[in-house]
Amino acid sequence: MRIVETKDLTKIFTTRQKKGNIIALDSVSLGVDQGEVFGLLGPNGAGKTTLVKTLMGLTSITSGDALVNGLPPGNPGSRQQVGFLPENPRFPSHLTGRALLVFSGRLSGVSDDDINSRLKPLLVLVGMERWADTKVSKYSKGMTQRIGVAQALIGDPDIVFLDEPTDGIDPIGKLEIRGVLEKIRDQGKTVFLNSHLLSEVEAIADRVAILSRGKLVRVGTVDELTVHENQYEIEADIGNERIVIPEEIGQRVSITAKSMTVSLVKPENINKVIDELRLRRINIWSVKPVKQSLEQSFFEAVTEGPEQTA
Amino acid sequence: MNGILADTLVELKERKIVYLFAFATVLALLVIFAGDKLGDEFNMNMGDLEGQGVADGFVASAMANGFSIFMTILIFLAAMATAGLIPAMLEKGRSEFYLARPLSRTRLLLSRVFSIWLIYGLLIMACGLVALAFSAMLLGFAEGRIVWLFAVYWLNFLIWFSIICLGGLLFRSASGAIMLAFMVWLLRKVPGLLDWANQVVDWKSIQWTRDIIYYLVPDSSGMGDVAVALAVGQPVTNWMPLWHSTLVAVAMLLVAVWVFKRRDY
Ligand SMILES: Nc1ncnc2c1ncn2[C@@H]1O[C@H](COP(=O)(O)OP(=O)(O)OP(=O)(O)O)[C@@H](O)[C@H]1O
Ligand SMILES: [Mg+2]
Repeated sequence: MRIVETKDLTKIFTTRQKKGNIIALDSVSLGVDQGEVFGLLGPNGAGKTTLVKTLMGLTSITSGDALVNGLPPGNPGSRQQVGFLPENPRFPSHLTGRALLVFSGRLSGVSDDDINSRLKPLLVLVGMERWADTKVSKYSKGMTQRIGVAQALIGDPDIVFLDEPTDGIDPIGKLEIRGVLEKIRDQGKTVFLNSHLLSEVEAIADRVAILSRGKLVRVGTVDELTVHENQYEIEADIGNERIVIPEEIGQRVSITAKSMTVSLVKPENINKVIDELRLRRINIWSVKPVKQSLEQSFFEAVTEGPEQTA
Repeated sequence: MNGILADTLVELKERKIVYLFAFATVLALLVIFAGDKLGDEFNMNMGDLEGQGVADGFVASAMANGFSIFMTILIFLAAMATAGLIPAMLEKGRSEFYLARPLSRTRLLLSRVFSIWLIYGLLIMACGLVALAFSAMLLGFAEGRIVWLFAVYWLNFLIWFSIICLGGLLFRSASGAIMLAFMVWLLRKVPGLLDWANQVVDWKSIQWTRDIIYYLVPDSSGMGDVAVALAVGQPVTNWMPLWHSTLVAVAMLLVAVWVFKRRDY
C-alpha cells in the first residue's frame, strides 16, 4: 500500500503584495511506499516544507489530492501513527526534554504506560539522556533537532516526516542522526525526509524526488537518478587503435589507450560496440554504466527545471 | 484532554505571572485589614446602637462590592496573562507541534481554551478564597453567599477570554488580542452614550443602534451587579447581562474555531 500519495497537488499562496500569488506546489504527483526512505530534495524555496505541511494538514490544498494512510489530510485520522519533525522547531519553552516527549505522546493519543516505556530508549537513541531534564529553551540547535526526532517517534509511528532533521547538527551528529534513520527504517517504518543535503539523502534514501520551483522534476531510486542514460565506460586495451562508432549506434564521448566512454542511442547498442572491439581482437576488461553524482543530477534537474510562472 | 490540561498547569507554574496574582492578593488583604480597622472605629462611634443585624448587612454589602472590585482586577490580570498563550501556540515552528496530531482543530482549540479558563480561573478563585478566608478571620463571620460572586466572575473570565482568544487567533499576537478586548470594552460604553443622545433627539435609529451594540457586546458591569446581588442575597433585578454575555462568549468561541480551521499554519 502507498502510505503517502498525491495527485496533481497544487498549493498557491495568495499574497497581498504586487508580486501576485506564489505557486509553492505545482501539480505534484508522487507516491511513497510503506517501509521506504523517501528523500525529497530541492533548493531553497522549492516547496519541500510546503509539501510536508499540506500532507500534515497544516496548510490547505488549493487543488489536487493528497492521501496519508489512505485519508485526506483534513481528516485527523490520517495523522494516526504519524510522526513529524517540523523545520526549525520551536518547542514549548516551559518543558524539559523529557516532559516534551511525554506531552508529544499524549497529544498523539499514546497511553502513559507506552510513553513511559518508550522514553528511555528514545532518549538513548537520539543521544539526549544527559539533557533530558534540561529545559528545551536552553537547548542548542542540534539538541533541539535531536529531541525533535525523538518527539516524532514517541508514538511509535508507521511513518515519520522529517523536515531538515540534520539542520544545525555537527558532522558527527549528522552521522548519528543518519544511524537513527537507518534504525527507524530497519524497524520497517517509512521515512519521508526533506533535505537539501545531497550526500545525506544519497546515503540513506531508497527513492528520491527532486522538487524545483514547486514542480516535481525527477523521481526515482538513487541509482536511477545517478545513472547517465545509455552512457558506458569500457575498460579495454585500446592502445592507439582508431575506433569509429557509426551515428546510428551512438557516439564516442572520450577515449584513451586504456578506456573509452560511449553514449549510445539505445542500451542494446553496447553489444555492437563490444562486437566491434572484439573484431579487432581488443581485450575488454570491464563495461559499466557511467554514474553521475547525485549532485550533478540534482544540478541538471534543477537548472533545466521549468520557469516559474506567477 | 490529550495532556493539554496538564501542560497548561505546568506552563502556569513556570510563569512569573503567578507572583503578580500573589501581589494583588496581598494588596487586597491590606485593604481588608484597613477596612476592618475603619469599621471598628465606625462601630465605636455608633456605639453599636442599631443592632448587629444592620451592621452585618452593611458589612456584607461592603464586602460584596469590595470583592467585586478585587475580582475585576484579577480578571484583568488573567486576561493580560493569557493573551499571549494562543498566539504562542501558532508561532512558526511551534504550531506544527500542536497541529500535526490525530486531533481535530476544533478539539485542540477548545481543549486549550477550556484548560486555560479552568486553570487561570482556579487561580483567580484561589486568590479570592484567600482574601475571603482572611476577611472571615478578621470579621469573625463568613458570608457563604459570596461564592456566588466568585462563580459569576469565573464566567466573566470565560467571556473575556473568548474575546482574547479570538483576537489572538486573528492577529497572532498578544497585543492584538489585548487590543480587541480593549475595543470591546470601549464599545460597551457606547450604549450609555447613545442613551444620553436619545434624550436629546428621540430618533428610532439611535435606539436601534444602541440595542444592537448592547446585545453584541458582553456586559461586564451588568454581570457585576448580578454577582453583588447574589452575594448579598438580594433578588436579581436583571439576569439579562449574564445570559447575553454568555451567548456572546459562545459565539466568539465559535468564530474562533471557524477562523482556526480555515487558516494555514
Ligand atoms: N505561508 C506562506 N505564505 C506565502 N508564501 C509562502 C508561505 N510559505 C511558503 N511560501 C512560499 O512558498 C515557496 C516554497 O517554500 P518552502 O518553505 O516550501 O520551500 P522549501 O523547499 O522548504 O525551502 P527551504 O529549503 O529553504 O526550507 C517559497 O517561495 C515561499 O516563499
Ligand atoms: Mg523547507
